[in-house]
Amino acid sequence: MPTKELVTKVWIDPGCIVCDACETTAPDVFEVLEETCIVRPAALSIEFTKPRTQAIKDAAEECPVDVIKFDVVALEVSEAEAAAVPAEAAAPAPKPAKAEKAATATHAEPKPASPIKAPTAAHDVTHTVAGAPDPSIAALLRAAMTRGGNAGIERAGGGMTESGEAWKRKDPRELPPDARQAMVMEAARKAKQEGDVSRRAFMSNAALGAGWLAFGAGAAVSIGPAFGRFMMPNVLEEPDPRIRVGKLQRYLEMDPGGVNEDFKPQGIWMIREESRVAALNIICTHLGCIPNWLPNDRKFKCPCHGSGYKPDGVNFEGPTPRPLERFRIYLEDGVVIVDKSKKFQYELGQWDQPGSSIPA
Amino acid sequence: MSRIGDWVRECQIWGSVFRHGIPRDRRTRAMAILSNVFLHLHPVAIRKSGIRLSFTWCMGGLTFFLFLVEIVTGVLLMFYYRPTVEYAYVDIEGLRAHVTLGLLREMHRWGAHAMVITIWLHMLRVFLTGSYKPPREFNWGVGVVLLVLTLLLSFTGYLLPWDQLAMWAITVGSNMARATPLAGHEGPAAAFLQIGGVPLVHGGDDARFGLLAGTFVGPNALLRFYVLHCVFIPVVVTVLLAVHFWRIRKDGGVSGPL
Repeated sequence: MPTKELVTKVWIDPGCIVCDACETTAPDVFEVLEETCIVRPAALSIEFTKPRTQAIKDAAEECPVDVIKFDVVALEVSEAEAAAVPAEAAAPAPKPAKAEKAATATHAEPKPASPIKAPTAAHDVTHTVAGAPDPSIAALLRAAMTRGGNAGIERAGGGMTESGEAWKRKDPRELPPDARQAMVMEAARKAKQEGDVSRRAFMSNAALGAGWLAFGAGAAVSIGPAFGRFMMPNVLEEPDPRIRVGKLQRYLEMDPGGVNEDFKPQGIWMIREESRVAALNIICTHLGCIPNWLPNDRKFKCPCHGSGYKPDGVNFEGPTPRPLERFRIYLEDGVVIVDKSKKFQYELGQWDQPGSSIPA
Repeated sequence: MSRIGDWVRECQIWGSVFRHGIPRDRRTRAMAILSNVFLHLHPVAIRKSGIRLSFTWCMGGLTFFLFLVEIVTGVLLMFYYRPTVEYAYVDIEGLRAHVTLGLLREMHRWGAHAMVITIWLHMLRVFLTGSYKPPREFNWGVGVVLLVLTLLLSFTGYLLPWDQLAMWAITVGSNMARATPLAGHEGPAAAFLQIGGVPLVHGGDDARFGLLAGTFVGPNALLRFYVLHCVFIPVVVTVLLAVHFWRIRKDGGVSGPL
């Protein structure tokens, strides 16, 4: 008769390094938490672990720190049954005959009754534990309670509640490893919940927090702008944005509505209006092309998309959304200077501001 | 042959580097991942369904591969390229004609185009498979930052050939920075930042000025884009890539098919 091994119980020893390997291999059996791996509550039932024997064995084998432990029983099965092993367990070859005897592992007689009762027990335990434990901790506690051994005996003797408390009074060294882990985590949770922070501790924390906050704020306020300023050069090797365009008289002599193209290479049209002289930016306000001055049509016409502007720069046709911009313009020793670093926009009402034109 | 193999594996040098046997069984395979500083960012194991090509399209992996290609070719280009107005264009020409394997410059360019394509497809795949949902929402955020940084790498690299296309592309692109809220001199709310009528944010002191180190695309901008392209952004991307890969493992591996 061939035999097959079935896992009756699986647990985690201390020392998990949270590598996530076992959860990937057997996701319905293991759950990797922040600090350790646990066996999922559902996987505490023997009926649950049996068909997952191969996955559990694989997980235990690949565990780098060897903390996954399990008990097995060897069952004699008929040829047909051996062939009809569940899909997960299809891989292992049937053990030779001597395994039949050797396979009586720690728990030779699995008590199927006790794990099946587990849900009830677990339910009670949840209520006896102070506060509402984190689900993962509750799972660990249930794991500890539903395992065989002393806890089980006590449970048989006394009431559920009592046994739950008794379990907590037990010497931790006698408990299974994940129950010890559960105690540690439970204690940590309680310490966090109770919030009995002494005044001294509170004050020292507050002082520390305030200190760091002040330090951080000071550093941000001083270093941040300093580095920000570092990225802004104070000296530029760029051409002067101020351009001398000749004597004012020259522009005063133009007819109103006239356009002077002498400084187009510098990006400027000088224009004469009824009562003032101004400097237009030659860049089309649609998409940045450079329009042409058409003296016969008396308009600026952009070759790219057909935007058109009146001689004073106001748009009247084509896709452009707004008039041409004007540069700052001023007199210095009778010479007209155009400052290209400062612009005046019609739609913002800036063409009436001082500096946008020179009164004739 | 096998005796030579045994001898190599038994010597002290081998043993000091590899603390585990040949990865033949599950344990040593897990050890191989866990004991390697680069591989340990990855999950020890992933679901078979998770690596199906029809599920991942391997687009994340391809993007990372192209990033490595860009690093290798880019570092090689840096041996010749000088980021100055005088030499930049000439050096790019020279990289094609004056060196063996002048193809490297083209590889760098094509790789950049391909990387932008694959990173978008990677994002599309993650979206279509719902892999942005909790618990992976943080990693989605990291991924979006990586996408933006990839586009910025393309943008800064665009200027370096210093031809007309580069000049005007960056002129138009950097003009957008004028409209930055608060920090751009034509942007919303910038007009409020003034003291006694003197504007604090103006054409000579705003986001665009900080980007170009000048008021137009000139020598300062070329040098600045070079440093951003070759040092600053790649370093940030490398750090975020490590986070991106590590979070895949911490968030439960490659997500499963829907």
